[in-house]
Amino acid sequence: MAMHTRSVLDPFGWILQMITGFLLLGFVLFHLYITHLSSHEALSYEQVVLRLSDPTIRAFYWIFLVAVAFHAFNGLRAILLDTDFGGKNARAVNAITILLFLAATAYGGLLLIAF
Amino acid sequence: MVGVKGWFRIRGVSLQSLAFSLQRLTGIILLIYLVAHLSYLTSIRLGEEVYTAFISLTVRPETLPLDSLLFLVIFYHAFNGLRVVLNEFGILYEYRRALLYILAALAVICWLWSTYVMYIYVMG
Repeated sequence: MAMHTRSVLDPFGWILQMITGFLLLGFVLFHLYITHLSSHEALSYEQVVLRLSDPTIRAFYWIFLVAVAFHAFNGLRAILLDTDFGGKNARAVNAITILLFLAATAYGGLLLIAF
Repeated sequence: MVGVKGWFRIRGVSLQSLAFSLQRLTGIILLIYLVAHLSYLTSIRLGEEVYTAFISLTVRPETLPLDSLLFLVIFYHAFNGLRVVLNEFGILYEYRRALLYILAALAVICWLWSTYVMYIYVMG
């Protein structure tokens, strides 16, 4: 097992993992705050629709969605590449995790364009 | 699979290695949660009735411990990830061991505070 994600990812993948991770620290805390910690009614249907009707909030969620999907599936890629199986099938691991990233972004995007 | 067993080996393992293993374990939990969360959000598109039924099923006192654990996983992964980035750029590198404790403590403080706030809201 590699003791650093840097050692299994290509430099570009590792740098993007750090950038998205750093961004997500702020994004996730903001998301948790407005959905769980700001008011008792924050998760009501009206409040959720109201939030997502705001172009600024929607733009934020677009960036959040791309960043979180990339970070999650690039992280999965690093874990898989750190196994015997992943090491021998690196091209397949790369292709599958990129497809999963695109699918998650597209699926989340469909939810966002509904508002 | 090689390597994964090593994540669970605690004896003789350094604190940095333990933090690395926990970062991967929490990352996998959060990946599974992300997929579930995106699937769950489909209910918003299905209308108010379906969404409200989902919310009343998942946001209640009985599920608060699970929400609380999720917050712990998020805060640990976020603050330990920040430590990794700081280490990568050599920031506070001479204090890397102290940083590990400080950021873990910060994660626990955020977790306790968020659990308290959620408890207040859920219990009404």
